[in-house]
Amino acid sequence: MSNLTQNTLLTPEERKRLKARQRTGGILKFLTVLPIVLAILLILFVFLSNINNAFVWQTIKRTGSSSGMLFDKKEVTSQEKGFELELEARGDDPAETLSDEENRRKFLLRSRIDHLPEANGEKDKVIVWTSRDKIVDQRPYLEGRRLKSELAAEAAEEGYDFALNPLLDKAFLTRNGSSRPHLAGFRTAIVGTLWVIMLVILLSTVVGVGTAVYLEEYAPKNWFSAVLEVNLRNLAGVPSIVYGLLGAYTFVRSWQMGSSILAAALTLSLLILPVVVIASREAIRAVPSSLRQASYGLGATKLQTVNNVVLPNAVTGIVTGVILAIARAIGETAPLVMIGGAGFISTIPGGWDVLFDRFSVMPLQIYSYFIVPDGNFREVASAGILILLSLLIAIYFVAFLIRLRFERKW
Amino acid sequence: MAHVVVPENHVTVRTDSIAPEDAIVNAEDIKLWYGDFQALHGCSIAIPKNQVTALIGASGCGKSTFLKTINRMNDLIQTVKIEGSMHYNGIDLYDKAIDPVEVRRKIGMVFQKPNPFPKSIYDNVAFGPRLNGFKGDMDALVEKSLRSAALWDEVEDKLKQSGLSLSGGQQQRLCIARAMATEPEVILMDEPTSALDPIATDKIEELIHEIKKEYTVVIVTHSMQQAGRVSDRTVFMHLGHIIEEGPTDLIFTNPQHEMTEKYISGRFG
Amino acid sequence: MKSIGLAKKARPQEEIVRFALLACALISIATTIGVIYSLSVETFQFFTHPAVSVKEFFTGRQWSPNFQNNQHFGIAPLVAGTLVITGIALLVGIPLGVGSAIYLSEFASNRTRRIIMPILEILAGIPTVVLGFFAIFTLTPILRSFIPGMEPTNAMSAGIIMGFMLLPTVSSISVDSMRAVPQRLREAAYGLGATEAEVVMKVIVPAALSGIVAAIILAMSRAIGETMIVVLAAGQKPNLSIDPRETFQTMTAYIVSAATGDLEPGTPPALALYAVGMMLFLITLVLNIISHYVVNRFSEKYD
Ligand SMILES: Nc1ncnc2c1ncn2[C@@H]1O[C@H](COP(=O)(O)OP(=O)(O)OP(=O)(O)O)[C@@H](O)[C@H]1O
Ligand SMILES: [Mg+2]
Repeated sequence: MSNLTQNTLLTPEERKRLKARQRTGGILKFLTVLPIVLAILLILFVFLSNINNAFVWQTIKRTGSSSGMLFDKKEVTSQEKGFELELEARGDDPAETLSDEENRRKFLLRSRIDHLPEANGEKDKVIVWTSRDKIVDQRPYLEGRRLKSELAAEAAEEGYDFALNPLLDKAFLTRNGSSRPHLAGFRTAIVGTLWVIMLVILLSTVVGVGTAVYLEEYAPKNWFSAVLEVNLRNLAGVPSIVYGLLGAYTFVRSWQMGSSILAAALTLSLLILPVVVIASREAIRAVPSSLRQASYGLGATKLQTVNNVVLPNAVTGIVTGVILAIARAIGETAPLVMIGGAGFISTIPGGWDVLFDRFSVMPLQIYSYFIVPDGNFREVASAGILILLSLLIAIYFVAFLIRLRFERKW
Repeated sequence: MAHVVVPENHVTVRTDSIAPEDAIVNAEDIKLWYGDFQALHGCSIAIPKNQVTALIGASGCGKSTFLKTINRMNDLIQTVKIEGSMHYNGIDLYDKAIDPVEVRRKIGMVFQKPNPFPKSIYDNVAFGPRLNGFKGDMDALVEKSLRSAALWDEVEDKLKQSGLSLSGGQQQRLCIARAMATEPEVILMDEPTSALDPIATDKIEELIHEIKKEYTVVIVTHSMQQAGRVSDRTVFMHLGHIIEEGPTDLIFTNPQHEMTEKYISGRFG
Repeated sequence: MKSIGLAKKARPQEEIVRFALLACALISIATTIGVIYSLSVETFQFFTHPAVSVKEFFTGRQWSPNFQNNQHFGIAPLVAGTLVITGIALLVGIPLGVGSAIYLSEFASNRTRRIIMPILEILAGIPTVVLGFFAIFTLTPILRSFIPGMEPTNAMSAGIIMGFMLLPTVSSISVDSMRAVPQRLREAAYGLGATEAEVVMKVIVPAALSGIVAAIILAMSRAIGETMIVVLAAGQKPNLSIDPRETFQTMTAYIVSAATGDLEPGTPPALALYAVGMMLFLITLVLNIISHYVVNRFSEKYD
């Protein structure tokens, strides 16, 4: 029976079949890696294409600049005069703004008046960078680089400027929105997102954690809790745009909040509520019941137990859950389109009645660049997308770190 | 319950010796590590054909680990490192050219907890043969296997029902039928009755007695009575060493090694 | 130490907290009621409007709410758009999602899994408006360069990108259900001489099937309700067709276009927005319920 030269237990036929089976298995294994590779490629591609689009080579025709240029049909004789005219045109009081040190500085950051000293035989001039400057041509980074010399020569011939224009720069973060692509900024959107999200964090955490504590620690096991549970599960599956309809009908119209920060925050809070509740419940459930027993055993009341034992031990899970839900809220667009969030607003939300201010948020601003017929906004949108994505990645990273740091094995 | 230490150079006490041509499996100096933890310290035994060999010993002594080295189930655990040699009909099972899959096809296994697939009874039994591209009469093979496992009469009318719908004892016999359907030569059983009630246990023990005509059985058991009832040979393990091995009646009536004696008489756990 | 007598005394503070927590829990009920109410009011007004017929809404083949002389409210084209895009999304998303789940659950080492899971989380976290931009400005030009007849906005690129959007959903639920298959079934299969791939395909996947199916149904519901990708990449033209190269308007896209257009409140086109929203709500609700039913009814109970 023993045969030392043999190195298989199978008949040659079985052996061949096994080889084929293993080969099929190898192919299958490869096929299951493929989706992961594709997903990673997509993420990279999304980033790279937006980076490519956000750093553009532009050919610009400066129709807006000339000496003694007219600003709203009035002659600009000096820089100071230019400032005044610009402020007037915006509907602000020039004297007030320019005399107050702080306001003046703020204004200068945004002003489009520039003073060019005498040069090349030309006399001093005040240039008004009006928005009438026209982008003649604009190419994504890679393409522009390839055609650089060609484009530069062309631009020089026609008397245009040709330059690399990183749309995503410091100015982009600090400028307000504008209907002209090369002057558009993201500041209103960033401020809007901050206001809305602050409120959402507040509302959804309080209500979400409250609901979770109720369901896990207080609710009797009866039909009512069953209804609550089924209800939450179904809410989690309601499309975000339907929440938008709820917000538009109830908050904006019935409760007359208008398209305000408050309406947006309420809508988004309801939208992420199920997610927050589910994450918080999981975290609370992970607290071993032995800890609760110990607390009750020491004579603590339910409230004391929840406060001193359950919540402190569940806080990591709750915080991670809330962070991830907030990340989702930051990226939501459709519901805010429904409640009438604006693409372009001229005033930064603020002041004591900030809750009722109109607003824009980052994804809305990005979407609004799409609706404008002017195709040149596409590149600006990419700059906005990069900011939004960086913010989200930072948030995910924080959540990841928290989880890593506090991961607890009971 | 004293913690008994086994010297690293312990030599297994053997009551008899098995002629090489009688052995179907031959383990030589098997050492196994789970990461840094050494679970087997050089185990050597010969397992004779068409006999029932029982592995006994205290919990954690490495019975399951040793059993799984025979059909290379340990290869599935990434941290495992194995030394020594394991021959089956003279073929080195750990040879580079050998695929663990073929080993497991020839050396079947039955587990501690019944683990039928969530498929029909028929599909459970047909699972192995289908993998191997069985071309013959599948119905006949399923029936034969179920009969050999003494289950046919009970499930004849409900072959399409889920294997999970059977009782625990029936499930275990289904698993035995499933293992036999691939027509292995050796069947390894890891505490096959520990999850079953006494009546179901009786049935399985009877079955083991039956099937040794066609198969070689290696069974791990916690119960010495069971080892006494079903096995021809007994291997006593402790802390990763094989302390003593030999014919079951000899081991139970006249253990050679002090530790075996203590274990048999229930004086250490 | 507190005495037992004290512990039994009614504590107003405890009662207030209990009441506040209950109020929190009731907000989710109020949300559901709010959704149903706000959708119902205008949906009712819509269907009772003289210019609208219920029959036409469900059986009509033309959706042209803004044509003064040829106003039609047959939802079929919007449903067609939604279904075509959802179909493509599932065609892409199911293999991607289930495939990656198999890899993550069965083939990947723990270390690999720990690296890949957060990456999929990032994919899940990319706002859909960003994906929509990618679909229209990056993917569509590529598709147009080799598929003749591809319109500048089309169902295909929206569907493909939506498939990627579904990947993390399908994947994570499928992974959960595959991990829930007891280890001893894997052992059983290996013990019978199955190869790694056979264990996965013949034992694990069938045993986890109910979870995988539930994941797919949930993904379908998400695809139907997805808005920004289709608004950006699929276009705004109601189209009763099945050609994925064409422009389509989905139900969600109509809702957006009606909400951003200057429609006079109370007119049929403005009310239609809520009627379509109601349809959307009901469809996704039913799908979610089915998905849960599948899990509860068909998942194997191991002891
Ligand atoms: N996968 C593993 N990883 C690490 N150590 C393991 C693993 N499996 C078993 N061990 C260890 O190896 C030793 C032997 O385990 P084994 O399961 O073989 O014992 P056993 O004799 O079968 O015990 P029991 O009678 O309880 O089943 C034990 O100390 C156990 O802790
Ligand atoms: Mg064991």
